[in-house]
Amino acid sequence: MIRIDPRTKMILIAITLLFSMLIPTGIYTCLWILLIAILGILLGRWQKTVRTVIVFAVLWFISLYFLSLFSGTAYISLMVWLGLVFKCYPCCMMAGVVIGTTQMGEFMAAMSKWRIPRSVVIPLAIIFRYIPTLKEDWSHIRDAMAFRGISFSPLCFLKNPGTVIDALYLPVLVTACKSADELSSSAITRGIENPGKRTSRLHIKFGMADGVLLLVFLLAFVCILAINKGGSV
Amino acid sequence: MNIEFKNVSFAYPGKENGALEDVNFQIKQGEFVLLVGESGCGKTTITRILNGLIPSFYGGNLKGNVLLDGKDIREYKSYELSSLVGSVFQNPRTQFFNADTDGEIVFGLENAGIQRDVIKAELDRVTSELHLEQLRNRNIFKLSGGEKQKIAFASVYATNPKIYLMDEPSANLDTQGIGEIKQCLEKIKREGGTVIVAEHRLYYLTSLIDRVIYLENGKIKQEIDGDTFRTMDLNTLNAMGLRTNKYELPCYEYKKCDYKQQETKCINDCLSLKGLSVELNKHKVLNSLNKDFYPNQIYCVVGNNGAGKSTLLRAICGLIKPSQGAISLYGKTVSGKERMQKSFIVMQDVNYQLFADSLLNECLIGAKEDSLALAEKTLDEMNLLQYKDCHPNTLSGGQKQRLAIAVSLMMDKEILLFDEPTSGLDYKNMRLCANILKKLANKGKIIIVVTHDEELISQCCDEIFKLENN
Repeated sequence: MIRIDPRTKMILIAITLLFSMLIPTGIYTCLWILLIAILGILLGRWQKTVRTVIVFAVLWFISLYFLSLFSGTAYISLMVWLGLVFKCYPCCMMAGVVIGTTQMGEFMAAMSKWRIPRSVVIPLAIIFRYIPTLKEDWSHIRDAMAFRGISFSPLCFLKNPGTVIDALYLPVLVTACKSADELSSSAITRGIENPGKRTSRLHIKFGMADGVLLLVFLLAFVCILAINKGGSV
Repeated sequence: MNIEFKNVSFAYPGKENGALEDVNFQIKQGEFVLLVGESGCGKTTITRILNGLIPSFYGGNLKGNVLLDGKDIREYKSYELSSLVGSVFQNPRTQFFNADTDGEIVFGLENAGIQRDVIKAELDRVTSELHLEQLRNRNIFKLSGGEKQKIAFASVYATNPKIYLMDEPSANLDTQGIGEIKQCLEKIKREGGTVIVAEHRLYYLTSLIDRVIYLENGKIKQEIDGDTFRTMDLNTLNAMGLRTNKYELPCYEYKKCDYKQQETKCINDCLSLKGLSVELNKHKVLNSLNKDFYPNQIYCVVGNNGAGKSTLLRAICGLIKPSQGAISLYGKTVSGKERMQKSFIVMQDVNYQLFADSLLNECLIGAKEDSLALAEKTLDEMNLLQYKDCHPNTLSGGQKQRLAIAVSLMMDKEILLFDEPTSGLDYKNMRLCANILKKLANKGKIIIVVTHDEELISQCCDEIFKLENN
């Protein structure tokens, strides 16, 4: 297991973003997923990484062998949907790896080294922090709905879509407002607004691993880009 | 650090509750002061003025002077104030910012830009002084409420503030968690720190208090010194709308039942658990439980964190599937799905359960066409009829809870389960809650309450059911 600088992770996200923008979906998408998977495993997040790779592989397999079984509208809508999923998959997977392996303090200190203003960093940090809370909220809301005889099943949704949406969005909104308020006030009273340079308990520095990873990702990207521009795919 | 409030008045924008009117008091360095009063009396407002959240975060118009060692509080920036005043809030779920405990403890130090070696040394100091060895390098999301609250405290303690502010730190904690917070407070008091606590539950603070400030409708009604407070009897406190100042409550005279040996006796007049076991992640949480729950009775389930209290509720109402055993209702074995239709949990955070645009509509969701009269009658029973056209979100905590109960009545649920119904409620609302539980019991409902509130138990409980780990 290795540790890398949060800034390296940010750059890797940027490269992946460029990859998704510039390279058409194809065999290179699989290659890129593999690269991200190696990164995820190196950073010690093997379980979830393996799971996301399997999901990708299944979808890829479906698109190769089963898509041709459909025809007409079903074919087109499935194809468009899968195309969209494949386009977003590398970025989402990369983001998952980065969020899952970066501690908040580390992230904020790295941003501070880059001199990114706090007015940008703090909202970002609160969003990151809110995601797991949303997950908890979600399961509570699902329980609460069950007692009222409402569920997320397609059947229930078709019968009364309005009620299902109400039962979901109001509690999410109310609890989100409350959580965000409480999170922010707790952060403010602990000096998050201090404009001075932030330090970190963890040593944040570009090291060997950072260099190697950046090189691998950049090289891979440039090669793929060159091949693509050459028109051989 | 000395604190002085001089003719302080404040109102939240667009809200009546929690306003202050011409408040004057002084707190000296090293004093331990308790702020008490009913919900909305302004005690939280005082803590928010002291940590600078008012007016910078909550807005509103602050009049008068608040002085810290003679200097006006408005002259401090939020981050300057943060090194002087440390705050611990009510909700353990939403006051940590990092996912890991180590990062959270040093969060304040990192914000202040302290050097890394110093941060490391401080982390070790806090660990040994607060005995946090077990909690180091853990995922905060996986900790219990008490442990989270302890980390919140450690994070404040690490920055070495002059003043400690606690806003209902015990609201979501069990007896054990409260004990841990109490130990932390004892430590600061010994070290000569200034402590200000706003609380509803008072018993755990009694021995520490130097002075009590009693607020009513935003004004200081009375200042009571610690020794006088310690001798006050329950009737006087209750008349002031306050909770008990002693831990000894009659509730433990109730029989504790030994649920393992006890055979279930009832045949067709109760809810009966027969050899109920529940496994979560291959870990046995409940182990062959036998227990009958009769209608017209109020059962209180107590036990430490991890003893399986909420698991029990979730198993009874069909949210999780037991690994062994059966549950029968009035003599018939009932499946999870049937139990789900017949039961209702009033959750600790009742916000998850309310989603209509008015109280009346909340009651009418899923109801039959002609239920309007019934809905109004039910709301009346819960003392909510006057708000029937209001949005549920404008209600107070206690009112929202009663609305959820009204919903369960409208749906004609037979089994009503309560998860910590009195967390964060003041004396008056706690009494109201106890009375409503009794009312529901008289209607012939089966009532099971998971709680750690000894006062609620002594008010309304018919039988205590103690769960122990495994």
